[in-house]
Amino acid sequence: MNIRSSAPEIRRALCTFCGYGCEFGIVFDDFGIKGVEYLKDTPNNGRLCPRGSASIFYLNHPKRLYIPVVKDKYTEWEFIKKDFLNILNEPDSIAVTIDKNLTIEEELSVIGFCNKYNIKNIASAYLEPEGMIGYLKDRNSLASPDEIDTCDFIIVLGDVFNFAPMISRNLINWKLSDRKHRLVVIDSIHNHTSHFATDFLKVKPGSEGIFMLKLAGEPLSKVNVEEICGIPVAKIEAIAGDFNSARNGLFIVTMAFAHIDEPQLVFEGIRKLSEETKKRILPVFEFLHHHRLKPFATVLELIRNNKLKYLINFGELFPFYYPQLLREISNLNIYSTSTIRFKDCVQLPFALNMEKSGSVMTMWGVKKLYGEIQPPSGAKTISEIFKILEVEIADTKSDEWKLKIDLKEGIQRIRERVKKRGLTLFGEKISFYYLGLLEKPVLKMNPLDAYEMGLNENGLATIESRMGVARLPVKITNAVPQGAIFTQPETPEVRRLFEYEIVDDLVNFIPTEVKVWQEE
Amino acid sequence: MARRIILDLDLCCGCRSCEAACRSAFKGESRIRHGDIENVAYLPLACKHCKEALCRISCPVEAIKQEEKTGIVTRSSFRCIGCKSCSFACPFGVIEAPLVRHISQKCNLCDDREEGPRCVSACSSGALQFLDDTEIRKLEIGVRMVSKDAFIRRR
Repeated sequence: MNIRSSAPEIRRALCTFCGYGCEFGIVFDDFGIKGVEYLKDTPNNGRLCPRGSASIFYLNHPKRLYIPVVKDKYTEWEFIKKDFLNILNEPDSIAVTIDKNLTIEEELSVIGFCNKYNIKNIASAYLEPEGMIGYLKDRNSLASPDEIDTCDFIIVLGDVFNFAPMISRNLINWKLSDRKHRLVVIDSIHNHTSHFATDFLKVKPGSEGIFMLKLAGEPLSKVNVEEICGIPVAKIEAIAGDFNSARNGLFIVTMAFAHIDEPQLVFEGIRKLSEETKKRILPVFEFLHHHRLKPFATVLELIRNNKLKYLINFGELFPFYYPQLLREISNLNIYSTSTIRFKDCVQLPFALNMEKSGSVMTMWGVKKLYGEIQPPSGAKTISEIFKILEVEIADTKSDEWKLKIDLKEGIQRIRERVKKRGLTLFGEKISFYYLGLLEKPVLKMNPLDAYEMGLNENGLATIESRMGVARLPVKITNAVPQGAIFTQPETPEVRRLFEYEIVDDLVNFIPTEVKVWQEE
Repeated sequence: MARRIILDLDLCCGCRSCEAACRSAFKGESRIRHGDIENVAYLPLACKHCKEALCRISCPVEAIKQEEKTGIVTRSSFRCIGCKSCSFACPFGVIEAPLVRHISQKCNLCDDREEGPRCVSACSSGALQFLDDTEIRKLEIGVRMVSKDAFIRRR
């Protein structure tokens, strides 16, 4: 008998690791996923960022969850069902949270589920600062990446090339196509985008919020902007004036985890800038909720007052991705869908968005998923989970949340921090550090700081904050200012170092004071 | 005509998509390396497939061979004994010294793929191109670059 392997099959997928919405192929052979194929006949012309190429590692992750888990032991769906239906009798003691990796249709189903069982506490647990963009009043007026070509003046806040590297082609080609095109990049660290800038404004770490407000024309009469941001007011005003008078200006914004102090001030700056200058805003995001859900801080408040017993999370990250929050919710019974196995919680095996049908929010608007890749046996979508648990769905209407931002308080907090701050750890977004799949995080520091602390390049440093300890290899670079150190918070071990505070109903992960010393 | 990987430095944004594409194709190992001239440029380092390949000449077990038609320098994973001669011989430092699964990692321009190397297909900014000699001569690589300022090197 001849045994022949069948020819490899290519199935199309929409990449859901960031909001750019690239398309690519996953190659399957008789043994499962073989690799990634770069398809020319796609809007991204086959090009793919490191996260897209690394998607096969994630689809085939060794810790992928296939069977429900209760207290670190595998169990049957039947047992989960019994408990789950029981807790639904106490809707006031339940909070439902939604985080990343849900399609728009799934988000609606979860809202419908909450409406059916009178669960009032439904909130977003996607705690990345870019999620704030979703609360903008008019999301339909947001620009898409193809509008870059028509601009003559672009301001970029943060490292857009690392948030969504695919945008680099639009932006670099635009920059090189005409000498008159002006690109202004604002960040606290020399980043990949700033290499291409006409003007790079290196603001003091953490002061982006104040800078944005000033750029948007906020008077800030009692604030010494130059001292806080490190940029002369005249220069900020000149750029604001040029931007205002530009024929076609665009503001591209990225907000990375713990990279910015008081990100709500940046949000307020963007809102004001778009309203007053009538210029378009292009937010670069990894994930955005379709609905303006309540922020997680509203639920955290109830947890702190012992008003909740159960937390049901739909998504893939929360609460495991934010270990510092686990302390606060440790008294709750947590039910969470998850793609990867973690400890100490009821976990329901969940499919990745790439393995589903439906639609997702992208920078180009709503895009349809292909649904050609099947989830691994055992991993379920929300509708399958609801079917197994025999829960019903009512209408999908929900109240839309509006952010209330206290500018004065935010500005005051930044002023105080700038004065008192010692050695501070900031977050930095680098696409190839994604979940530690490609490379492990490093600690970037200024040569003078490294010399003072006796640290060597590639030497192992211990970093201790009030939240925990981590050990990371050191990278000495002039790109980082003195007194600030940067790391890539892409793994829970590094994320746990960052402190958080609740401001304007938002959970903000903030740049954190740390001690660093050489590992012996 | 032999085609080679060409880098247009003006376009490279340092995202390392090329490296990730190579890693995902070759079981987590990258055959394209990456240099970083701090605050000036990022340099993906791809194998040049030299006409007189020193890695081939230095290989004591003749594990590295050059195809006559295409000029592609390939390494046989069966013959390779992991002596690292090729990595020391390479004048461009493209073959990484640490061995993976006891053999050296050598780019074969993804000869299993009709469209060419995966790193070129994946390149997010279009900095890497897969061109033949005549196409390379037509290119004006580096002309756009203004390197007066060590940091802001673009026009």
